[in-house]
Amino acid sequence: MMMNMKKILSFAAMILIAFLSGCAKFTDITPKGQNLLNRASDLDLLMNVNFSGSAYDHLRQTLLINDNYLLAENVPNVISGVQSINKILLTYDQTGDRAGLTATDSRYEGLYATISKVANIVITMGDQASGDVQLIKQLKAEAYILRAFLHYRLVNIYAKAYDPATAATDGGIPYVNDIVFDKVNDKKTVKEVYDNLLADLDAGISSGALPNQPKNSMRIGKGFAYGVKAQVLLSMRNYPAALEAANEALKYNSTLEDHRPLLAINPISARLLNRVGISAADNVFYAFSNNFDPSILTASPEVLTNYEAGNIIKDRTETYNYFYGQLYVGLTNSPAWLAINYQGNSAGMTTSDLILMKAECLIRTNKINEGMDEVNRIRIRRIDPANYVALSATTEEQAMGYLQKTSRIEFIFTIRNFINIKRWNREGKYQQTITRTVNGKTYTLAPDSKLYVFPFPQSATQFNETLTQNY
Amino acid sequence: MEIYAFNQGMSRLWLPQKLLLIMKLVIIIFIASLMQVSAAGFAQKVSLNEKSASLESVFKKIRTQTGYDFVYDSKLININKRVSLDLRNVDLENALSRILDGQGLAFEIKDKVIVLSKKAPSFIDKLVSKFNFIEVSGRVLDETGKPLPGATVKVKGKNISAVTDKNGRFFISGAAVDDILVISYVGYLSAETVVKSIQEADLSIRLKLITGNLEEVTIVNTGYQKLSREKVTGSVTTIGSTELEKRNSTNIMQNLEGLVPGLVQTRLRTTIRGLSTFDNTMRGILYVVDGLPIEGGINQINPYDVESVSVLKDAAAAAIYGARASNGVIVVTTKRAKALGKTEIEVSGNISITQKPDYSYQNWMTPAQQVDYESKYYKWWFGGGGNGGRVIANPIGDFESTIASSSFITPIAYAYYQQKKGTINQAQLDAVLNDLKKNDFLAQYKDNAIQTGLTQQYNFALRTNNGKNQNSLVVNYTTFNNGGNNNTTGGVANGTNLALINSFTKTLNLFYKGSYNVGKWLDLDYGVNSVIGKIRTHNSEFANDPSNVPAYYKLLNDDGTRAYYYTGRFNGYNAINNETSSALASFKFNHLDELGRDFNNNSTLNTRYYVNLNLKPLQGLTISPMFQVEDGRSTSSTYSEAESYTMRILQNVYTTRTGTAGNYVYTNLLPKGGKMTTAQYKSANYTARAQANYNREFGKHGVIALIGTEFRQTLTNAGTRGVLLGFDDQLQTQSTNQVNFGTLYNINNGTMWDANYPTRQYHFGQISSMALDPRETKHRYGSGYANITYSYDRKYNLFGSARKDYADLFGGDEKYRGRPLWSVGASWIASNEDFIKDIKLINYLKVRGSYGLTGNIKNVTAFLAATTGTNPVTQLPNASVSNPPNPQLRWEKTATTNIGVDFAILDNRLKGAIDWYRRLGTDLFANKRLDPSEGFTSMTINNASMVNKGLELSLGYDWFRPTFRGGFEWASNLTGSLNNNKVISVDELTRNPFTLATGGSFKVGYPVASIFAFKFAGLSATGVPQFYNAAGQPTTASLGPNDADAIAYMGNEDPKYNLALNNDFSYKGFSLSVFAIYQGGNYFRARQVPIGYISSSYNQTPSFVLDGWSPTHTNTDVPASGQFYQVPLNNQYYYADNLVRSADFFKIRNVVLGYLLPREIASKIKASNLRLRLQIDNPNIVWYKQKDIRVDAETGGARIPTSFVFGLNANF
Repeated sequence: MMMNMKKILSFAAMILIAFLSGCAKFTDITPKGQNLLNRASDLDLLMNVNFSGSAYDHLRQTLLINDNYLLAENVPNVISGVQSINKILLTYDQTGDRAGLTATDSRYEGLYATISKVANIVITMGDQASGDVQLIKQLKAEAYILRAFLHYRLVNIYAKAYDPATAATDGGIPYVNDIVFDKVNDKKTVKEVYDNLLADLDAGISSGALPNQPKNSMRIGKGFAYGVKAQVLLSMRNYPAALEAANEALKYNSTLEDHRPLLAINPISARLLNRVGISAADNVFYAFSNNFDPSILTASPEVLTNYEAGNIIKDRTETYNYFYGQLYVGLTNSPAWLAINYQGNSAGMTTSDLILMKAECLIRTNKINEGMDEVNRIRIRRIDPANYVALSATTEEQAMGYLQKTSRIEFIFTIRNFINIKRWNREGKYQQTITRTVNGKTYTLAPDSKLYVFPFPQSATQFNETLTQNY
Repeated sequence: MEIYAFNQGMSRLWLPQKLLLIMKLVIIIFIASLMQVSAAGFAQKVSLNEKSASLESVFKKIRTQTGYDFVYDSKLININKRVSLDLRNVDLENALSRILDGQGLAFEIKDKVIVLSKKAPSFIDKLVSKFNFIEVSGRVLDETGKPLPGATVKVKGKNISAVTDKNGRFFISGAAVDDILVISYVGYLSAETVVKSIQEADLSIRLKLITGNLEEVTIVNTGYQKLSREKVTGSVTTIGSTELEKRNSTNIMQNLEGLVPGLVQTRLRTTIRGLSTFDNTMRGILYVVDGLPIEGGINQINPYDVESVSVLKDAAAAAIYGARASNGVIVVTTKRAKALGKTEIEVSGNISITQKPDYSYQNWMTPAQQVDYESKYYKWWFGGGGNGGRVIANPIGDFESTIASSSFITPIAYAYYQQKKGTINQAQLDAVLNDLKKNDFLAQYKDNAIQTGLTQQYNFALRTNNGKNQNSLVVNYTTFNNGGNNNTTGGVANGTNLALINSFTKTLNLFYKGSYNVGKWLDLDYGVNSVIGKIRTHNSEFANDPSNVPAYYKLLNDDGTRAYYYTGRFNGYNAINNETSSALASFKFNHLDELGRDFNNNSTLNTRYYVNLNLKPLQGLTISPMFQVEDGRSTSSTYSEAESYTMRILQNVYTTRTGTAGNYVYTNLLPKGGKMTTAQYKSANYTARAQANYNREFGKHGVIALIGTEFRQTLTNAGTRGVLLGFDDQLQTQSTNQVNFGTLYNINNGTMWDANYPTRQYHFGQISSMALDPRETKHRYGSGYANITYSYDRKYNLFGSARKDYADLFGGDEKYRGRPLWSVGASWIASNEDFIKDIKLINYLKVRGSYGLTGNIKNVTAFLAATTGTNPVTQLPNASVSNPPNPQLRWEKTATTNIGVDFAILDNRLKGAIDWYRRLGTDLFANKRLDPSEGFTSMTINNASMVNKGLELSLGYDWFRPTFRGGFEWASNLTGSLNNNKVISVDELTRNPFTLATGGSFKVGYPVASIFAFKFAGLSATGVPQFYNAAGQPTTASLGPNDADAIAYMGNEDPKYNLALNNDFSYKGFSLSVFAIYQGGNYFRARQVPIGYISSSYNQTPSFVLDGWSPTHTNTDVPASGQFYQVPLNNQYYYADNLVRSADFFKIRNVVLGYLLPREIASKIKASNLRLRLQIDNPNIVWYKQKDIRVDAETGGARIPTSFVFGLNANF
């Protein structure tokens, strides 16, 4: 019997081995519906990113600079409630443990996700991909610009604004440019980050592969590439170079949004703001948090003072609604913006960015009149002709004052105001102290407040020891 | 014991064997006659009459009678061999021959001395014995004539045995005439029969059951092999058809409820021994039908055609399924023809009537309450608000701007507006309110739109078995006047039967299977099973749900005609309703109208084909190649008639208007007519298996082994969706090509009557549902496996199995792609030991233990790849990388230890099994966090573990056994299980209390299905809900990461205990079965979330709103609605501890009264058996541990409505 068993077992083992080697082969299949990222057209699909959602939600930043209050959260209750990140941002509490309250941060997670999963993959895989060589070149160029744009946003949220004197030692952010997912991304200095930004922008622009007009405003063309370059250079206080870039960008699009046609509509209740987000003529690059941005946001009474008399949206339409403002945030002097058909470009770039950057560069290179002309190009489209008067300035300071006020309203509820105010504050010359009065109590945000530097979330610091906070 | 000669069914194939037997017979007779001749010449005569006498005593008698002496070596004499014979005057030689025959002794007579010596077989002897060894074949049957597969047939005193095949047939070569065959089978009395002569070469042996009523299933079918229960070392519960058929159901899983300890079915999920994986998509039980896994789902199984169901629970039982076995395996064996040479016909019919839903579980306001509540609100609102609430500065203006929008306006609001404007006076207003109070929409809906549930099941089975060829044809037709709207949310409580008019579910299940016995070395099984389904449901967005209009509406006018009203999406006071143009359609709505105009018809065709071969080249060895294909098709078509509300609204929203009031010019952007939306997809799965089984006994040793390989592919073909616009069903025309989808897409917000109407969001999807859905997905699995059971002396069994699985873990390291999984087990049948055999009390006792690994897999790609999708903003296809490359991706692993005892004591009255298990899951898929700058906040890898520990018990007791046929009989059966589930390690994803409360995260030391809740701290002085923070202080703010410890563990969502008690009574032809269940130890969010309503709502409104907070009503936990309403600060109340209750419940599940008609009556319709049944499912005999909330703990909504089932079953 033992012999029998042995024979059977060895026979069985032989069969088993034969079949198992077949199994490995049998299960080696390529699934459909999976993009293997090895063709030009595959990478092109990857670049069709939807630049919307919580990664582009900058309410914490706009709350800090007091453009608006919380999104449909009762402000007095938050202030009287337990410690929270919103309470700190509302009350400008320097002592609050912000890092402890920031478990996650959708901006940090979302922006880096696009850097790693789109830009870096296109740049890295592009060289091995098959297909249209020109398309691959274009995609890589787009990816370089995208990588710079997103890092620029991140460095402005989580680090101090660029100061040529201290940039080499100021802590920055990781500059991620590989697709090695298990390697820790070291924190760089602010200068290193900006060096990388310029290098990426040059790589993208110098390839010459970017289209003059991208196929839609969620793709990258020359206008946006030069626009980002202008932003970076402006932050680095290199005004002549920034002006050159802004002018270059304006060659591809210089159409501004115009509010004056609204005045032809009557009654006033029928003057509904309308902007089709993706196809708006003033888009340079379209990104947003909600497609009804900035509807439901409530403006602070302080920011409203920046509106000039006769502003078409504030004074000639029913966009601002105090009743809903009270319902959303519990304050009677904070009106809600209600215009659900207005799909604002809250986190991308418009021609207004280009014009105001151009204006600032002109003003700061002693071309005050030319600069004021650019400021007026915006104002004339925002103010009822019955009220409109072209402004002129005699000094840089006066011109910058007009520009800051115009810019604040032009970019109300968007990340641009935060980045600009932070930049000006670091510079010292045009710094602003921000105050907020809620139910009679006034809170003050000093220009050098560490609150301007947002904490890295715990979801990052727990897994990357180089990520020390920058405040 | 009864032995029946079996002469029928001898087919022509057996002829050569018969000839051979005749030749053997001739030779034997010839040799015997030669011996007779050689024995002549001796004259001493002997007479003996002995019964079981020893040889020595016989020799003494011979010596006395003849004076001959015996000389022999006493070692030659076996004292145990006794002699029985009756000889009269037989000569000595002959007598000695007879005496010594079978003793192995030869004799020689020398000078009155008889010398005995060991018999050396002569050539002739050898020849004789050779020819004496005939091939015995036969069948082992039970009392009713059904074959018993797996019975053991042994030749007494010889090392020869055989096991019956699935037809109960056995073959033994090497037995001789007069050999005794011992036939044994667990649960049956052993039988012996003598091989008398060749006439009995085809024996038919019937075994009797040891005990009476509870039919025990003694063959365990694991899908890969059939083992007698005795030899099993694993934990398997097998339920046979007798038990399954005690109650009627539409789904075999319902029949299993309460019968299988460890199998837990709740509204959330069906599990075997608790959850074994974190991932919701990986929790499916593996279903195996007739040996091969199926993808189609358990509802493809005709419950009338199930012979047995085996639930494989531990590793020794399930490890043979390797990487798909971690969630447990359910093996279904369908019926086959049993009775030989007979055509069996079975006809059954069951009609179930199910109550309409009980809306009282919804706790809605009555019409009068809602009228009063709303009146109070609008009185305050038109009065300018204030008074502690918000100020309404311009109620008339605000209201008129609402009229000009599409927002709903209730008739009460409008009446108050008219009163405020002065167009009606107070008396007129009161009259409006009083009229509304008389209506009751819900009651009218229940009477007119909902039917009493009616399920009809008809089953017809035709089975034949001529011993060589078996055929079964089973046809089942089930029709249900419900399109499957059960358990939907739209205003209907869970557990509700919502049999809406004009909807149905029809299923036709056709199953043909056959087997053909080509020879004793080959047989063949084959079958085709088609399930054809047709379901009609309603497509209307609104008509399915009576809760989407206020309670005080009416569905029918007093004269019985249909009443018309508006949905919450439009108001009837908007000026657009005054415009008349053929370009505009009516906005008016009636639920009953739409229940006749807008249907979805879904038809499915699932077909399974299989062929199995059984080759038997050597004794004990079977080689079985098997092949199965499953082909699934599904087509769905939705036709909204031109007159349907869906189409009328589409027509209106996609109509533009130019010109001025009075002279409007309208342009319809959509062609007029109906809409036909279609969707179809196909799937094709196959399994190929080649397996060798070896089954032999060598004396006391028994070996059952198998080795095999299996290849599977599952393939879902790409599905397509399309839409036809301007469709006319009668003319069969359409005009989709006229539609400019770009133009329609660009209409984002706004219609001619409301500039803020979200047109694209509501409607663009309805006209443009063209898609590739689902995408093609293909998965492949390849495996090799083997197992062996060794048994010794029918007492000890050892078991071992091994399996290696491969799956298409795309991009995974090949070293991880295959994973070896194995198990070992042992069992000891103590009751077969001599020292226990004698204990009368113990009839059966078996101890078993096992340990082993099973697996589970998630089909994710391990490679860097992107999934394709669409950018919703640009409408362009895009791709996104969803997970980082993970070359170490591998199978989840569950190690199960099981110890069990099976026993039968007290004359088999008390029978049962106890099992203890521990299931340790490691390498479980869970998220591991990364620095998000890597691009991923976490990646799914094999890095978590959990454990399930539990006890299972099943007990059966016969209280009364019948003393005569039809006598009173009462038996009880109790099953119980206890399971503790605990997470051992997981990367605790968040400190965010909200994520934990919503179930998005797991906590070490707590069950996977934990309920965590915010601790409610009462309403604040201003009516805002407060919750305790980590410091124990009440706060209205959202709790953040610092308050993670403030969140309370409320309990497990899955039941910890499950008990079921079944009692069966029978007397004469009557039988009564009562099934009761208890589930407990778990919790659920029982209360409706008390949220405030800002204004009156255009719905059936929950009555808790009436208990809302106000400055004068502070003793409540319901936040304010209306006047004192405040926007909630957060959603924490949805997960508050004061909403959670114990989910313990006890229910009588079924009461079944059966009557077996006397044979005389049955025979009048030529039936052999005629049975009537009345069954009550879910009678209102329930107990809940929590008493304060009107909710059913089992469903989380309404109690499952009671059904009455009338059934008839006849056998011919």
